[in-house]
Amino acid sequence: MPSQSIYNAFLAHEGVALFEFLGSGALKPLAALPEWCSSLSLTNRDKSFRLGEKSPFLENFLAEAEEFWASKASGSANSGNWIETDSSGTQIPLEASAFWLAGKRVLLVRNISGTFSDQQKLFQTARDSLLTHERLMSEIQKKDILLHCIIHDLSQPLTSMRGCFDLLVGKKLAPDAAKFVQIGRRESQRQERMIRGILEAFSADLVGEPAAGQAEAASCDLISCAQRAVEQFAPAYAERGIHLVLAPYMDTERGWRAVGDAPRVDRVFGNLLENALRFSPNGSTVTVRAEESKGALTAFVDDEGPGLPKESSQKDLFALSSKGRGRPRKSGLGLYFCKITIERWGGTIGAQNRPAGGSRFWFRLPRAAQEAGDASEEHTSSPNFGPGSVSADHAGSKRPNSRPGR
Amino acid sequence: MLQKKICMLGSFSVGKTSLVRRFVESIFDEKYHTTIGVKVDKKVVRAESEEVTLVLWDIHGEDVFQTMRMTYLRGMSGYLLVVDPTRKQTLEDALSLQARVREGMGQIPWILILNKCDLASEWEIDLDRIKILQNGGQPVIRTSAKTGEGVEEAFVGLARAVLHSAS
Repeated sequence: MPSQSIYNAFLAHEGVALFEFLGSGALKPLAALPEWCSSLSLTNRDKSFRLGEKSPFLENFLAEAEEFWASKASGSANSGNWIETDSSGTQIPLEASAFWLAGKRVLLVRNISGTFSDQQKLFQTARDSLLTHERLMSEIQKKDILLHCIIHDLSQPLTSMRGCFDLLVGKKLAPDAAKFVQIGRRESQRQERMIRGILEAFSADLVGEPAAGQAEAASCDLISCAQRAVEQFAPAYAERGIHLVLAPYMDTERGWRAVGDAPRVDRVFGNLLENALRFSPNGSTVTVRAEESKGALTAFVDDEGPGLPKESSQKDLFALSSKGRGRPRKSGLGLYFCKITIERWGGTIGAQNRPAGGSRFWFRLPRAAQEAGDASEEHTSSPNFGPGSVSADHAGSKRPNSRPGR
Repeated sequence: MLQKKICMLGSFSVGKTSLVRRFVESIFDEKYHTTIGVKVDKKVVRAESEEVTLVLWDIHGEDVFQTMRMTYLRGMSGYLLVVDPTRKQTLEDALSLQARVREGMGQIPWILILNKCDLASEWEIDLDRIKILQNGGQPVIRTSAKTGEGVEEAFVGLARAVLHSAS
């Protein structure tokens, strides 16, 4: 058994005061009191005292402790942290426990200064972060509301314009006028896509959707998305005299389901095709294809344009800016949307110059789990592809062979 | 002298500690110092023509890291439920906390404190909800621990309500 002096020294070193509860709020010290006890006006001269009168917090805890002792439960009752202030204004963090020891009702009060400052720092950092997060979310919400207002105001006149063009399409017009109506109709559709692109790129809906790797992520058929985009852009390519081709691909028994929701993957393909169209010369070819590799599916859009400027980095290409590839661009929004969308699903996106000339934009998405389905994907009939190249010039026409395994 | 236990309740960073410091020590610190656990202060006030010692329990704010122990409220005579109106969630959290307190402790005098009234232009809370509470007889006081506005009124007002409720 250790001597009383070692026992006292140990408790003093640990900042622990031990008391026996005598009943009716009275406590008797079981060892010499550590220095901090003077903050509660407790001295070693006292044989017993009422701690509750010294500290309102302890008075409160003693009521809880009495219930614990009366219950004869094992373990201990803990007070949680509290702070006492001594006469000099120094704050002392304390913690109390009540338990049974050798048949005695024991109250242990410990000075936790040693660990309290670390705990304080941890909580301070955590709560500062929570506040920052709250402020950020509030800003995003405000911007989202503003964005929706702007989008609404921009879209309204456009909807009227489109309605007018749609009405005119059904009229008997002179060939020149019909052509102008078609151009007006197409350009208003393009404008609508651009406005929707702004909304999709910045909407808080996008910020709030499941992050990469989460089970809730939707899945889509990558080839179907590619085909829809090719069909959508076929007229614009044809008008510029550029061939848009959906290349033959290696079929796979596991299909082409990738993580990501179909409408947004359609938009990604669309943005890449729009980008390629902007930089492709007349008579050149833009090819869309896909590959499977190590649990991921990769889509490519290859063009025969001037290629990427030497000084442009991947970061610059997909950043939100007005600087573009080779020559000034109207906006970096399209590629920025592609980047945030693909990365949101745990994918990657990039671009490089092709050895044969032109540029290659690609994105890679994780392969979706086999059973995953996507309610949001359009329920069009499965696209049929022939064994050779599929040209967008023929989009919509019946294709000769069904794609096996799908 | 009569002593009354008053608790400061509300989410983290709504200004509970700052209100106590302003009231007891006439000090305000712009920097946010989070409270862990409980700190007890005392101040004598005159209410209903008698002197009362308010024993002020500044209890840590609730968040994902810490929840408040209901045992802290034992013996409480009244409480100030503090909201930061620049953060609308703090009103929701406060009202939810108030429901828990009412369930656990019964009807006890309380005042809803809309703190940070020096930042009134940044308030986000739905003031119609506050009006509904006020119309139902709930005392609501706007305070600023920074400027001191409404602080004395809040504590002394609660002391009065506590004495009135006891009589």
